[in-house]
Amino acid sequence: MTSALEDELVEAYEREVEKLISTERKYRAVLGGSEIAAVVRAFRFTFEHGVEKVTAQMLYDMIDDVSGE
Amino acid sequence: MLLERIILKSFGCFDRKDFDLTEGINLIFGPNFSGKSTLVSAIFFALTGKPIIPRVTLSAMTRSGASSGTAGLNFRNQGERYQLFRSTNGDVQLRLQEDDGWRVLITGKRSADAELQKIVQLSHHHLSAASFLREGEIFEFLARQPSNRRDILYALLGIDRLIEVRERFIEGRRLAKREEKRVQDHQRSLRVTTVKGHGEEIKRIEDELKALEAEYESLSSKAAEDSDALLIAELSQTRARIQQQMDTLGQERASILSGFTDPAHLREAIGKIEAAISEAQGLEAEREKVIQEVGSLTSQIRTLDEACETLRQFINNNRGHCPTCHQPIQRGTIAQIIEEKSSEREKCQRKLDAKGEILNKHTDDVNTLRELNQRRQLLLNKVEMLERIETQFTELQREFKTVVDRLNALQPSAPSQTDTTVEAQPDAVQMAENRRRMKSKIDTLRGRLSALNAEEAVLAHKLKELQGVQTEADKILRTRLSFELACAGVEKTIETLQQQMLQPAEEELQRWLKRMNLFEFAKVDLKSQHLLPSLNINGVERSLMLLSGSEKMILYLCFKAALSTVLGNTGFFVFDDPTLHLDGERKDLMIAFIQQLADNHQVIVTSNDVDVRDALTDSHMIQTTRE
Repeated sequence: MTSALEDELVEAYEREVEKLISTERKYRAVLGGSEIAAVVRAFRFTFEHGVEKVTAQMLYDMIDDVSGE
Repeated sequence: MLLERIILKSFGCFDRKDFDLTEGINLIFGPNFSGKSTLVSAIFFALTGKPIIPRVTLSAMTRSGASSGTAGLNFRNQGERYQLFRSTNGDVQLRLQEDDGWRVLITGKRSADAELQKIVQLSHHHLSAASFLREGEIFEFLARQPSNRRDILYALLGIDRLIEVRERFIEGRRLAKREEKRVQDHQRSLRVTTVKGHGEEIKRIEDELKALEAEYESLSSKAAEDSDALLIAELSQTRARIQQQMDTLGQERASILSGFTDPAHLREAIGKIEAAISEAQGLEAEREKVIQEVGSLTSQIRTLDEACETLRQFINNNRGHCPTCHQPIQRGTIAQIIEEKSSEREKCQRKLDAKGEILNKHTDDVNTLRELNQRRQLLLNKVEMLERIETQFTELQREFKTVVDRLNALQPSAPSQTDTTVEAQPDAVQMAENRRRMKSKIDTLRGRLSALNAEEAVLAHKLKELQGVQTEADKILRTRLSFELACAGVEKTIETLQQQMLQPAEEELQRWLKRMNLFEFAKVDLKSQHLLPSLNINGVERSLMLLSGSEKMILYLCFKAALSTVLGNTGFFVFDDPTLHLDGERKDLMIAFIQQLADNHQVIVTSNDVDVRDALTDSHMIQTTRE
């Protein structure tokens, strides 16, 4: 997949995540901008490097680090 | 993208051959086994690096006898001309045309493919699904399992990668849940231990302690004011105690002295005993000597008695000779000897009697001496005890004097030897006792308070830990929800992508069907069966399976055209023998479809059908022949 398509996909994903945050109370009550950014960053990171190289623990660390802020 | 030339070297049935292509329709026409499908295969292989027919090995595409084959393509894209060569042994080279000729842009499969994707912006899934029709493809597609078609759809939309990403997020969510459970367990255990504190008890003890300390302070101040009185009281008590001890010692002394006037009298008696003992020195030895003498005399007497008895037997037995010396026995002589022996025995007996009397006396004296020694030891012990009592008594007297002196100093007018002081200060004594008790209670309360404070400190520590765990729990909740959001986001994206792609594809397909006068009132559904078009004609569901072969083929090509529009147009279509098995009417329909498609695209079609050739006379024809 080309990087342009990847970008489109990440943007689409970001839109979906933002839509979920605005509609789902359980997310809105707890999560903030930094968490959303971390989720999108984790998504992009996995796409860029491929699931063969990205482990669940890496994603966990990426998101957990932000949750602690 | 416009394909301009196919360049083959040891590829398929071709040794070395180039085929020029033009805009519009390119008809590759020739008999069976002339290499038409090889050209289709070469274009696909050059662009994707994969065989167009699945499970065909790359070596199978190489010309017989050659070690590798190469498929090349000249193409134009966005004003640039490119040349692409791909070998069946994996070598890839992408060139860009410049003023002075071809410049190698990229070499190597991975880099060239990446660059190619950037230029063309289509994956091999797109090309395979939307731009190429290989021989027999439609029947394979119809026969695919729904899950298989879903995989194709996901691959087309990049959803396959989204699914993989979602799997990673699900794993991450699992980690977060596990961590959340661990933190919750920890939190629960801390809540149990910190449920009850000692705040109330500490407060109560502190209040009590404060009151007691104030009272003690007050008593201490008062005691300081009455310190002389208190001291007098304490000294009086001490004096009484010493007096009592002295009395006890006096009684003990009198008991030890019993029979003696004083210790000097006792020592005098010991002196006399020691003198008597001294005089009696040697008495034991003398007595021993007498005992030996008595023993000797007794022995002599016994010997003489035996000798006399033997001699008397000689006389009585009237023997003629002496049994020892064998001399003749003379009775008179024997009687004389007996007489002498008897006389000697008498003397010994007298000596023995005298010695016996002496021995009895000595024995009495020795017994007396032993008694004297015992008596002396007894008296010496008494002397020792008296000396100790004297020492203690002297010490007590000194102490007594000191106390009396201090009392006299404090109470010059008071009698020194009476107990009136003690009786005069009962309040002071009581006060001292009260203070002592109060102090003891204060110490106990302080100990309890200290222990409670220590426990409270532990509780405070645990409370702090609980707060830390609470923070951790909040954090992990955010992490877990973030993963849930991430997963939900992926699912929504998949849904949206399908929606975004399939709906326009359905509309485009419907337009094509209308343009081709096919199923004019049909409503197309691509979602329900994962890309497999399903038709609803005038409210009646019509399965694709029930369509005729030609209808299926045209519908399928329309579907490809629709997909191509939605996914991103490559600018060309390659159809391998699309009119195969079509009757004349349907063949015309197919040709019309190709011609309409060629209005905006380059179309490369293979056929061995002369009707097709005749119908497409305006097209660029590539003639292939069997060699």
